[in-house]
Amino acid sequence: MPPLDESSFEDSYRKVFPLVLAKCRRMLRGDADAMDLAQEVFVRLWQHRELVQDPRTLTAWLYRVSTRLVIDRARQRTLGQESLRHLQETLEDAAAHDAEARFASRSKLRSVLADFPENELEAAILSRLDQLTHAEIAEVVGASERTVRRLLGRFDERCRALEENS
Amino acid sequence: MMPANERAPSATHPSYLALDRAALGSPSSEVTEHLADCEDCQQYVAGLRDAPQPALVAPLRARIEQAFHDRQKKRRLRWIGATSTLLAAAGVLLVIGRAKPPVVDQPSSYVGAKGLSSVWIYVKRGSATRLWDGKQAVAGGDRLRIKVDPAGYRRVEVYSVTNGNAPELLYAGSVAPTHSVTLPDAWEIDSEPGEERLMVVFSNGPVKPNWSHWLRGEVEPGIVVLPFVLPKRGVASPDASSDP
Repeated sequence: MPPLDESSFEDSYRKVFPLVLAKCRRMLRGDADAMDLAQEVFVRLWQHRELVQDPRTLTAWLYRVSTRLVIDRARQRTLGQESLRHLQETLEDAAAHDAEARFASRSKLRSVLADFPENELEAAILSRLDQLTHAEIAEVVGASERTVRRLLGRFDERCRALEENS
Repeated sequence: MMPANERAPSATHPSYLALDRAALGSPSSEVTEHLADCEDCQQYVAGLRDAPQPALVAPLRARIEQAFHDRQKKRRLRWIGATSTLLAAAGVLLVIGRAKPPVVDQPSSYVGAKGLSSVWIYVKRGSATRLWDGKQAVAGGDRLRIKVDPAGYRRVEVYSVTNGNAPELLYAGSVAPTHSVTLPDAWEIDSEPGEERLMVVFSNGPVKPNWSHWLRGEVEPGIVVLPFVLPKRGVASPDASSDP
């Protein structure tokens, strides 16, 4: 990986931006949304480049920041309908504990994005969408594996409660 | 249809994080082994190595420049607000002496903004240590301890500001850029009337203070200057330890 410094901006862009964009496209189906989010993440990366000079730190940082940004944008309703729908469906799949289990009501599902704690949503996206292991999620969010298991367990419990109430 | 930058989900594949690390030239041995046999994952990694649109370079640079100016502007506005308070203060203050570091007996709470250098000020009165909330008054005899999150900077300096005099350097030292750290020194508040005014400077190496500019909010790139004004009342009574 090239050093992230002013002299290597274009090289860094060529090497790192595709990762950022791929991560954003997994979260957001609207290409405009994904591209805009990817640029925002890259701008922030560049501002903090001194912190992320090795691939391991850099990728953990990218996953953490892009996931938190997408949750923020979803809550602020600044994403397009296509992106919101994809994110909701991702969480719907994540929440289903068997193939038949689905939320009966879209309005209930929306409350997952709006009302669930950010750290649970973050763990759920990293687990179900990016397919990270518990150890990898722990590394990305800066928590213990035990905490990650607890977050994912609570996320599932909340989803089950929503299903039962809907 | 699945987008080109994804591959079929399966518990047998490495995570996207692991594959991204491989694309950056830092694969684990398990991922290297997996990539040798898995066409889906090979395609994903190969896709990451395709050059992105060159047309984006210029707009990205523009966004980075804009973000830099926005941050500078925010810092300047924050400085202007703080400087007004400083100028309005009549008293001369000084943080005096060095005291034994207090034992922090309360968990800290986060008071900084995401991605920015942050400062926590702990006030110890008697046996109780509290995180300063930005408003509470300190008192003569209180001891201050400072924790910083350098957010990428490698050096921190702390100054005490007194009206009419050059700011006094209380602490200067290197810090790990990626870790919050409690500074090793503590300072005791004197009982002079006025306010306690501190400035915390983050940089990547020793800097020559440029007070005439800094006090106007003109801080050069690569340096962050955070001012703090702590209201002060008389001497703390020993039994007021729960109310710093």
